[in-house]
Amino acid sequence: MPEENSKDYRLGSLLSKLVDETIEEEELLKLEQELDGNPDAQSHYLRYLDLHSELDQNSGEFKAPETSTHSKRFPWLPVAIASLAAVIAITGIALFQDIDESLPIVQVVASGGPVEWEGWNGETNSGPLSGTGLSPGTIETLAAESWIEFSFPDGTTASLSGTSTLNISKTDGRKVLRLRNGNLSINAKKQPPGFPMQVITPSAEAEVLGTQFNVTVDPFTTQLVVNEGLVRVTRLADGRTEEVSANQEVVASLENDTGFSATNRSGYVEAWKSELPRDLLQGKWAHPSPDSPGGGVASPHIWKGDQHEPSKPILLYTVVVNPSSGRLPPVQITEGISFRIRGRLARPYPIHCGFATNRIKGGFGGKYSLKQGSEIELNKDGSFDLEIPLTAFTRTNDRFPKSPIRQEIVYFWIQTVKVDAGLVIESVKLK
Amino acid sequence: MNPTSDFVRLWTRHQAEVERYVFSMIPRQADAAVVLQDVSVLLWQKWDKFDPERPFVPWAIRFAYLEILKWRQKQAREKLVFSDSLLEQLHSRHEEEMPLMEARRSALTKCLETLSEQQQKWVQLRYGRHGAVKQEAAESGISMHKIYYALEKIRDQLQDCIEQRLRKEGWSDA
Repeated sequence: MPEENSKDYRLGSLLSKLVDETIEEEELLKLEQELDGNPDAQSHYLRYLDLHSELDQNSGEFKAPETSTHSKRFPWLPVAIASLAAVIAITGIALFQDIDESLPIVQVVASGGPVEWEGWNGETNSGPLSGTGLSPGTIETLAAESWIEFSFPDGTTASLSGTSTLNISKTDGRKVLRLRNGNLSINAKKQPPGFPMQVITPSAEAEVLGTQFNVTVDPFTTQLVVNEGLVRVTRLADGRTEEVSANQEVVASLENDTGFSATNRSGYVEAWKSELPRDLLQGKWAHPSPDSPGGGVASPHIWKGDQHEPSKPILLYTVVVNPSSGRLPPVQITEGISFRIRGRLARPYPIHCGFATNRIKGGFGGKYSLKQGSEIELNKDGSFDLEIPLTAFTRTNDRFPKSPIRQEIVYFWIQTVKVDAGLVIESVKLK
Repeated sequence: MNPTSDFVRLWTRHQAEVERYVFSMIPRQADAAVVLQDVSVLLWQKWDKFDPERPFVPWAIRFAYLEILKWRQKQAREKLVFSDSLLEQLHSRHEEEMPLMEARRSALTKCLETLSEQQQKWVQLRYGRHGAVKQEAAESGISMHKIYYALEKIRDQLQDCIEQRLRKEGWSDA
């Protein structure tokens, strides 16, 4: 019998875990690879699931299958359908009217990395989005290296980056953006009087007439940095309103006993050292033990290729740290700096890394990454201490400035590709 | 005949078949339940297009497949779902497998009788009552992992038994 928690990728084992709903993401990916393009495996899969369903529907009892089988899982369904049908038949009410939400309200300027859009009309698009019009719906940037820039007909532009989720819509002539999580940068043209643009997050609501500002949202707080113009922000916890003007920032928390006032933004710093877990944006925090210091453990996510070069799904194991979290002074990239990364690996394996930037006193700047994975020499205990010069990083898209120098670093990612090599990041230092 | 009662009669008779198909494409009960509900509503909406001279199940499965693709698109960001391409392949394969399914289910009844007493107990625990496996593990001190492993072996054994019986009965595709 396989050891508990060991990985067993035999088809029979994967199918068993699938029907018992104990399958893990990585195993499901293996199963999908096993089935894809393999008719024999597909037949085996369908027969296996039919066997499971048959046992389930007959409660595992030893009797001949009924010719008219009622669902054990959903016994209420025939009654529900009968009731529904009766209501429709009697009243003739059109319960299933389609609402036309198919008109585009924004156009995608450019994008990179895995990005998906789902319209409220049920349409979806995860292919190349550049140049396409998007109707009201949800945009998701799915990985640290993802980004999308889109524009409204009046020239207002917005950029979403990192792992972020944004609803876009237009209500009563107002542009309404609901940022559920992540990083949004907006450059708003002057809005018509009486129709301010609205940016809504789980903890705050902002009204915008014409300005440039950046918003960062996590489940508990909203950080809003204004570079030009004026933004009126309401904290949803208590309804308090604050006006945030150029070069100011405000942090709105879900708890109303925390501070909520616009303050002048701190000056830029040129050196930074992570403090974990505070600065951990993605990855699971592992507490320190007598044998090893605490660190961010890389968490898996599926990469289905860049939008312009879709590929077979692969797993990435990523840690993301955030040098500009909360009210910390922003970190500016200067010439000659390097990134020092300390961590450990369960076994030797190349690591990839990159970072996202904002322009100084401006919106989204770009993304920069190593062209190839960096080979690492591990110490006997699996630890490593790696220094990568800024010059090793190149822009991931021609739209971005060639050099990130004099931009603000927003977050930094470190990952292994395809293989869980047990990556743990203990600290990142910019010097 | 009353179209409502016709629909309810056919749906009630064949719902389990459609449910098995939906589950094979979306192998998570909670998600399959949601889609099955949408399928039933869609079938009712399309009921006036149904040709009573033709079989109900293939007609229903065609619409179920469309609902599954729609659901798949909505779940694009969800990791625990199959790709569109694989769903398409499975749907085609399902069409080829359908004629054999009923024979396989009949064979299953016989094959269940070949299980040992202990194996029969595991099957009844797993499929008889929700949560019974967990309860048994807690009461007997046998780990869930071991019980699930035993079930894996039982399902493999049943699969082999079904294949053998179908071959004996002259089904060449078994």
